[in-house]
Amino acid sequence: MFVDKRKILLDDVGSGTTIDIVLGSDFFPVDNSDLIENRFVKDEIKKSINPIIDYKKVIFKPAKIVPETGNWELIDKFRINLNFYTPESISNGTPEHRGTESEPGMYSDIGFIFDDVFCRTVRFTNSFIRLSFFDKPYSGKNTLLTFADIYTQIGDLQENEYGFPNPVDESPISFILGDPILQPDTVHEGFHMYWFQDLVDNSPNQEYEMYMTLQFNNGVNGRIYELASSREIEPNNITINNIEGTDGIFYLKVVLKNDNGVYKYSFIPNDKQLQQPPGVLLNSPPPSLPTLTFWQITP
Amino acid sequence: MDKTNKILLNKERTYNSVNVNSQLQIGIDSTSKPIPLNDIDTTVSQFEQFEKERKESTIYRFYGQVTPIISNPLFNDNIKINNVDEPIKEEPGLGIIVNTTPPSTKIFSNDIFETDGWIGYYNDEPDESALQFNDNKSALCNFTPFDPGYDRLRILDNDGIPNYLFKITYPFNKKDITIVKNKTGVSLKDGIPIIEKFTVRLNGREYVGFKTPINHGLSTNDEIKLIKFTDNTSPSVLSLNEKNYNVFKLGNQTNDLKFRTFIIDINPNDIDFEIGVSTIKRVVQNKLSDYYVREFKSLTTASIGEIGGSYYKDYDIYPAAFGTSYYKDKVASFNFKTDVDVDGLKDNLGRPLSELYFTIIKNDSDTDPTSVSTQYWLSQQSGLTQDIKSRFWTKITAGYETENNENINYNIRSFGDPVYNGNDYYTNIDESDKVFDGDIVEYNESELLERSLEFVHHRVNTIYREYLNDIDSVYDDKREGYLYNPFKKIQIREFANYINPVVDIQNLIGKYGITNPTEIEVLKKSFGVPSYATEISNNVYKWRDLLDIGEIDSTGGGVDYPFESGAHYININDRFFFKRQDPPCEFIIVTEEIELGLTVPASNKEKFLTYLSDPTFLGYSFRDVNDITNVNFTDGVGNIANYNLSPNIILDVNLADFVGEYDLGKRDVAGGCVNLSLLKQKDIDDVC
Repeated sequence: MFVDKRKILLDDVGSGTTIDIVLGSDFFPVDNSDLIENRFVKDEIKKSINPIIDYKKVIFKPAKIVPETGNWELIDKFRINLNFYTPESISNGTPEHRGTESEPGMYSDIGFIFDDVFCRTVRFTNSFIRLSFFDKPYSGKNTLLTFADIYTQIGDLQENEYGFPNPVDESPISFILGDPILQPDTVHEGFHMYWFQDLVDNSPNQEYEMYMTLQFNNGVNGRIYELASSREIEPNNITINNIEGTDGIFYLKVVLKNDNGVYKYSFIPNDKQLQQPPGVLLNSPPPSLPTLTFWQITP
Repeated sequence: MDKTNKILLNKERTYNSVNVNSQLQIGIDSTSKPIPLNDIDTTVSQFEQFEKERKESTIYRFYGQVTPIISNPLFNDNIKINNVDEPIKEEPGLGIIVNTTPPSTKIFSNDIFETDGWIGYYNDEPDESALQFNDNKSALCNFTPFDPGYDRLRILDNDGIPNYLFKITYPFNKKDITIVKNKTGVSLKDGIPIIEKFTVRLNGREYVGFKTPINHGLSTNDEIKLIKFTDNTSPSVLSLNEKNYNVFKLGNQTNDLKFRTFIIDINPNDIDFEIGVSTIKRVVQNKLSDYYVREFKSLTTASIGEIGGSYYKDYDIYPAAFGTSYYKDKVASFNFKTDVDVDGLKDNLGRPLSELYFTIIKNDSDTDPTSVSTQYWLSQQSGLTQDIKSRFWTKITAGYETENNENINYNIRSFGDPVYNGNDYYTNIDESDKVFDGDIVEYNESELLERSLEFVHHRVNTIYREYLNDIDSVYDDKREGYLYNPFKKIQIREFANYINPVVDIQNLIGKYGITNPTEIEVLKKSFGVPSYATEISNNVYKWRDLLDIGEIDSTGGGVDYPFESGAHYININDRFFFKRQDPPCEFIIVTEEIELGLTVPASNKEKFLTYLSDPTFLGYSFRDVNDITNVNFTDGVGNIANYNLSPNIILDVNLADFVGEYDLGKRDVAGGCVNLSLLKQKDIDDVC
């Protein structure tokens, strides 16, 4: 560095005297490596690392919402009825479901014979319900979140008082789902839901919405039946507007809730699903069980 | 740069000129440009990032299984409770009212059976429609345990009422207790007391042995300090105050009781002890061990979500698929919904937590007024005092499994024995408590490690058994209760197997004359002295490193468990033993004489029937075999009981009197240690 030397007498330095001293530097940055290594790279590394996502799932137990109080009351078992078009009505060209109430169809309606039920044939035991849960009630743009399968079983409803299976035209397609501790004799698959605790806890009002559909996979004919939780179906005039959306009959709204530390879920029907006969009947007085009934859509 | 400028001050230009501020702009030109950088490649290590996140996380999640070993040998009464149409009713303003006491049927001794440890009966009544027991599913030849049965004892039961509560706890404090009664204020902090002196002959010599009320935690050759012993030698050859002694051997003359006896190479005649006053302390490198009780604090709320739903706020519980114990008790799986954050928590020694405890507490929520059996027991207890008559279970009492000596406090197996009345126990423990008394531990500053000597045990009994004499003065109390160990250790971190070299900061402080506390702290930090380090003298520290998760030391010490979703996942696999307080290992056959016939009071018949229904009934015989020749007892026992003829007959009734180590009232069932082959055996074919 060049040093500019000057001699200044003390007497010469009066008021307002300033001396500009030029400081020359022969250093200039060659690159930004220091900045890059210590700031840029670190920042980029930080950005490249995914945030920790909480994959913890917890058990959600079914509940009914008491109309008077709005409280979510846990239920230890509920029933799922499936109702199909009767073979006779289909062959007549006027498909009709069995009965007029929220009731199940019979195994004879979907092609099972007594031997299937009595011997628990593979085509019987491998037939199953699939409950699928989606984020939106629109089949064109929704995402499957989770599903649960419930396999066909012979329970109290399908047996007579001596424990023998009933004839197939008296054997209801009905499943009683129950708590594995409180109701050990019931079907437990599909009773609990397992979902991410974090998503529910951080949802508005700690309530998380899903939309459920039900399919029956029939081992007799290999067909997958779509069923809706409303009987308001015109088999010869099925429109997308009637089926889909929050007001449609196909998707049943399910809300998962953190209810003061207890994780619950409940079915929230729309108007069509509440129409008589209701597809969702959770507040039926005892000894009736909370019941979901689903009717076949397409013959 | 070599360009120079000469600048004259104005003063130098003319005589009249004055200096003014002048500014000169100098342009710094550069013809060079930053060199363009090549592509920058940086490797991000997934492993390092994982390790970083794992080290930073203080969140723990717990899940696992509990295999219960539970049964009901301490049942209330050998009765079958029958259903009634309306055992209770609800009156406005008065709440639930017992309408009537549900009827009960005494089960005769011959009809009492044991199945997988459960004591009960097989239904042998063909019409079950009107008969129910708890689960409403009684059926012919179904085994039903006496109360408390499955619904009050199992971890998983289907009445929807939790029988136990799970908690996560940690040791946060320590306290002192007096283990052996004394009048001089000697307590656990003064060492482990001695309760017995004995002589052992080895190699032709006599050695003195001592017995402690709890586990002493000693090993052969350990150095111990004998405190407040009497030196019988003159002059004091033993030098007990100055000298430490080594443990010559553990165990007594027969090599038994190694955890509670030890032998020293001293002539038994030369030394004496005073119970409750004389104590020992282990010595390591001239450091005496500390002895104390750890207190545990709950990290979870353990509140029940909804009564009647078997739902807990802290955790979910459900049957483990196909999981049963050898005795067919269902294995319970659980999953804590509540995360446990140990950030900032310190243990009783001020160290970061290295241990948590999975804690199971028996709770008393067995007073569901809609249950027929509950109504029966509550109506039986209606004459008891207000604070207990509405409970099914007593409050929990706790203590340790100590030696049997009436001077010993906290002997949980003795609780209820009149000889021990007035002794100390931990009492009034409830599942809603947040703080629990725990184990007795030893800590030596030289080793910097805690060693657990005795686990705490909780004790519960049913109110009916505990106060049976108050309920019906004909009977004695049945004061034998159940014991269980509530705490299971979860090792979340481990201390290294080595002790760091001693760090002497005082040396530096003295050398440089540092007095500022902040500077001293900085100095500590720069030497890596952790906050929990033990200050062995002023500013001189020693400590054990707390190993990181996944770090294993040279002896295999350390922990490693899954880290996922920002939390540590700990699997707990626990066995939960619900055992008898004092299982009787001895029995005496007692023979009672009963005279039946025309001229004896009617109460004799009742007495005979009472004997027949006593669970300890073994059999009866005619005093004189000639008595049976003229009488046709076609209806078995019932006919004999109704015998009302002359001459009178005399029967010898044999009953078993089971004897335990403590006087805890009448025992109905023998302990597993009794040789039952000597007693009568039954077969289910006798009934069904």
